[in-house]
Amino acid sequence: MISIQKEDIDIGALIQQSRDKRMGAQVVFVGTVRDDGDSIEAIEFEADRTTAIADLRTIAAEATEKYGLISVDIIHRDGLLQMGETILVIIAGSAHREEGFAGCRYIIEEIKRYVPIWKKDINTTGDSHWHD
Amino acid sequence: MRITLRSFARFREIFGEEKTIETKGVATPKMVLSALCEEKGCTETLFTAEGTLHPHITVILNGRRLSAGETEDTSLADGDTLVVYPPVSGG
Repeated sequence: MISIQKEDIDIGALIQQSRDKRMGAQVVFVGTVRDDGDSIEAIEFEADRTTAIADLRTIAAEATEKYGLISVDIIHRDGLLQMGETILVIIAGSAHREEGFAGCRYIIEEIKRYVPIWKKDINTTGDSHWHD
Repeated sequence: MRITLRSFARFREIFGEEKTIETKGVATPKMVLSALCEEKGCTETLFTAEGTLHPHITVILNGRRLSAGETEDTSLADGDTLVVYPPVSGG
């Protein structure tokens, strides 16, 4: 599944749905809103959903080809997320752990490199600023 | 000719989510963005001191990402859609 959504992600259900008897490994990456100690209360995510989903599909196909993955799931959230909430889940299913870890790493680095998603910190005083 | 400009995040707050721009004669994406930045007083946000687009800014024409060179030598046509992205920060 490739998706950008406002709703929270049921990670356990996603792992079950993506499981396949050919897999010996499912590598799961979960990105969360962290407390940097900078009085940040929440983070607002904005995406150009059409292009971002096309880019995520391209990245999933590249990772599948490059690392021989059996399945790839990528779900990124947008909208206002509070501290500790899930931002992103990646599941890379593979026959062996090496390909799964490498594929999952490739996917997150490519997302960070060019997928059109932006975040704005909102702090406890009500001020906000976009990340560069 | 009429060009549609769409922008996101920090740039949406400067240029608006979507706007129609009227241009006369030959225009490139860089020319359109440069004129718009001059109007909004935000030239340094998009352009370097040498007048080139900052490398971390993405320009998309009708769904295709343009290289820095293409933003300078691609002629826009009536009905084109230009999208401008600030640096991304997803994940």
